[in-house]
Amino acid sequence: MRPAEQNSAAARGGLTPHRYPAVLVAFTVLILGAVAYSATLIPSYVQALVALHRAKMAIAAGDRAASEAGLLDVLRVFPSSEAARIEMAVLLLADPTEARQRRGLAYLDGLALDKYAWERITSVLPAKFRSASSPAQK
Amino acid sequence: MLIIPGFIIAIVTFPGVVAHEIAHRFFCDLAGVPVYKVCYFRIGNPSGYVVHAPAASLRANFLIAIGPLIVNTVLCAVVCFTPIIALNLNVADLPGVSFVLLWLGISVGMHAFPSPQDAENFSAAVRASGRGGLFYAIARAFYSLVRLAHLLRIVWFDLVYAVVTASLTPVLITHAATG
Repeated sequence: MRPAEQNSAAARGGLTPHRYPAVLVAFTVLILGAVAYSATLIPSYVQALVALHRAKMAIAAGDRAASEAGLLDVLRVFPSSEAARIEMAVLLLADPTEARQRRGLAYLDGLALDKYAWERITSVLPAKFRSASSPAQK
Repeated sequence: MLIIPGFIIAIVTFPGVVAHEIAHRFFCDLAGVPVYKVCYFRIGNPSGYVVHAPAASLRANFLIAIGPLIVNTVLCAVVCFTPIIALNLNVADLPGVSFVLLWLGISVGMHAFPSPQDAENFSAAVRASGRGGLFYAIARAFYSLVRLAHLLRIVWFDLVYAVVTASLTPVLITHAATG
């Protein structure tokens, strides 16, 4: 709005346009700060989400190498991502090499699995590790 | 069905009420419409309001009515963007600031819809303008939509709208990036 219009709005008995109380300016700065903070995180977060999505698509397509690479990308940004750790564990436990199976188990360290995740893990869990793993009683 | 008094919801989601009223005032200022009184937040019904002069044009009227829908929806999507991604990835050690952003974004999104009074003001402006036909039909549809959204708040439509708005952007971006 032009200054002349602003003056006329004020002259018609209104509040001065675009003049906000200090507390409101502080509130707006707070929200804009939250937006700016959120915006700085967007590139790495989007990269991780896209990597997880691609990894799941690669698993469905049977491309284990691409899937593992994608999951490692997610875990680089979010080492504690349970979704990525479970996918990685399923991927590695299904591998015939024992060293990779043990790596897969390591990804589950400290995780509390829900029923669906537990079923996915047990479907690929080699028999030799079964005795060491059991569902927790609630 | 969990029924919580409106004023308690307004208190918990007060950033949304404030953002809603700022959006009204901002669009009034943009349109050159004098604002006489503004209450950005209070405990009562309504929890905030803007008293302004009648807008000179229907376009200005529409923008003033719909301003909060634009501003609050965009803010909700942007502020919630990273926390929603972190939730999608089941990140275990989510920083506290993510929960603050989530509360802020959802609060703002819950107050995105214009109030029935906003829609009524727009409908009245259309009637006063003497415009009929398509313009009037759009105004009536807008009014009915807002009334319906207001009624559906009993089944938490405002919360559903905020959650869908917050969740949709990361999903759309992921699909766009992966084809």
